[in-house]
Amino acid sequence: MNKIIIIVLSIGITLVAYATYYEVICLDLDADFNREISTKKHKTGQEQGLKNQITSIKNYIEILEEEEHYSYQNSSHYNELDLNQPDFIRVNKCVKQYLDKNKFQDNCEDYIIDAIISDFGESNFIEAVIATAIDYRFLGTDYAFPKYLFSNNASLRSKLVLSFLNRYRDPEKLQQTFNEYKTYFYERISKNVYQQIFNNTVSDFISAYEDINQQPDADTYFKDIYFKAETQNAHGKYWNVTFWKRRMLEKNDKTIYAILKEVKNHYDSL
Amino acid sequence: MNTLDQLFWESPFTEMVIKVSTTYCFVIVLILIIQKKGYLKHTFFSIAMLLSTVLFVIASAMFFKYQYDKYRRLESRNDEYLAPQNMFKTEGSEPYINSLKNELEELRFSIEDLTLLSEWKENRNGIMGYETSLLSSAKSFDEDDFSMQNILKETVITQFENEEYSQQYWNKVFNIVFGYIEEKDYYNSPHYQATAIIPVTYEKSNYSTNGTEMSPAHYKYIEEEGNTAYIQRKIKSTIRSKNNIENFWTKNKAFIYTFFSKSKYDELCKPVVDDLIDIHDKITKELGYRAFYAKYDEQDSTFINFHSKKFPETYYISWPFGFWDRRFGENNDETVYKVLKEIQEHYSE
Repeated sequence: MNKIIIIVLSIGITLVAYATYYEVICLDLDADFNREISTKKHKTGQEQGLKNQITSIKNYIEILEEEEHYSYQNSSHYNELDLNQPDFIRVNKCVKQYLDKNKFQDNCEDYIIDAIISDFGESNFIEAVIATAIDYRFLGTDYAFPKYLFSNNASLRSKLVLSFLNRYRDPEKLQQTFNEYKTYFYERISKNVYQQIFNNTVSDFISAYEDINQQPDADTYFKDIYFKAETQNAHGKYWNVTFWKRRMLEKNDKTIYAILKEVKNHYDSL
Repeated sequence: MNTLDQLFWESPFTEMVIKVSTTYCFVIVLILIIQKKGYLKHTFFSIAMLLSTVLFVIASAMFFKYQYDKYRRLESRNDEYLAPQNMFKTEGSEPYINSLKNELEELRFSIEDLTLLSEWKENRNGIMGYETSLLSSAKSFDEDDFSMQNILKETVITQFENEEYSQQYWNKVFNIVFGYIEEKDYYNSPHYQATAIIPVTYEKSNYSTNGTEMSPAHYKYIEEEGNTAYIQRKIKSTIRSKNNIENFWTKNKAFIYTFFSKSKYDELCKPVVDDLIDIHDKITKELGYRAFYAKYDEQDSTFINFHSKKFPETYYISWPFGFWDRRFGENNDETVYKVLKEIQEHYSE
């Protein structure tokens, strides 16, 4: 009798043991399942997030690349100067003279630029000029930008931009203005934007200047470059170099070089 | 080991096993005690023991079946959801996500960058806007349309400009700003009243412009308008950088000291200068004052709660608070404070 009891008891315990074993396996299976489901969710979420980002960025770029259909009729929502105020009587006179003779008289450029700055603000004007120097189809520097400024058929807008820029040919004024606004622009222009859009141009000019300074005879070097530019009709190609010749004549080359270096260092060290 | 921990502490299975085993042991012990006490005949004892054990086995068998079924169920579920073909579907797979990340990098610009670039694209149209308004205004501009008085006003302004920065110039400026009345040798708008010199809008003159003759009073009116217009334009267009303020002050302070004798200074300027310095000292003692002022716009009336409600009210008006708020915003407060301190010291001897 005892033996029977012991055998039956053993069977019972064995069954419990097996049941435990299966319970353990079930726990594992559950753990696996949950882990895979959550990974999948995370990955799908991640994937969707990436897809959304890519779509928005592509949309943005498409909008930027669109050709501008700016017409004078649509300009009503842009900045306007109230030129009916009697203070701007001479600005009106100046622009009228410009329309008649296609150039500015006396101090007209100054009057007009002052009027714009008093409304627009100097830093906004500077930022607008930067914005004009970018080609939005390729999101890089617009190498045709100087051409527009100096062409014989330059629009009033280009001439105004040129007049505005002319104010900064004075090295002290340039340095002062740079110091005043550099913090603003450093914050505004991210490292990536600088690298993608401006770095190449800045680096080209810096190395052109350093090349010039390494020349034993700068005058001959310049004559040589100018000759090449004329004969090959490639002023654009040698512009980096001829730029510095003009700056040396204006005596602001050292200031400009220092500023370019400072900007490049700032972004390189970010 | 995680699974064992789970088994012992979380699974309801363990609880049941323990319950059943405990019941079984309890029953056995009970039977043994009864038998020891001699209440149970041997046969009954054996049957009781056997019965309890059989019940225990039945319970175990049910356990086993339950767990085994559960195992089969979970296994088939896992097979279905986690099959290899499901795992390597493109969605949610590692290689696909990496390819998306690469695509993102090749796009060169982040959304923040592109926001800036589209702002710039818009912004350059600002210059076009000015070009347009200049051209359209000039096209319809007829010099004769501008009435005599506006031409005169321009003349007044130009005259003012030509005198720039001489002693005569500064005398003129201060006489205008403090409302000097020559006939009575008296200043009409001392200290704080001078800060309201610039009107918000120019009212239409009450003087008629029929004919070419203008009364002397009319001339005077135009002259005054021209003068305040000049000062307003000058204030708006002067660059407010630290350097510019310092240079401007250094170049012109001799003239200013010449105009303001000690008595004139005390009458016209002292209250404002003293208040500005005093308030600046108190404001800058508070922690986080720059952030506080950055939050508010430049309306003077908003500075009621800072420091304490009573604090601004103890001052004549709240204009100095707005003054410093604007200086904080222009980042030239240190320079301005330095200049004010210099003035205060100069006149305190």
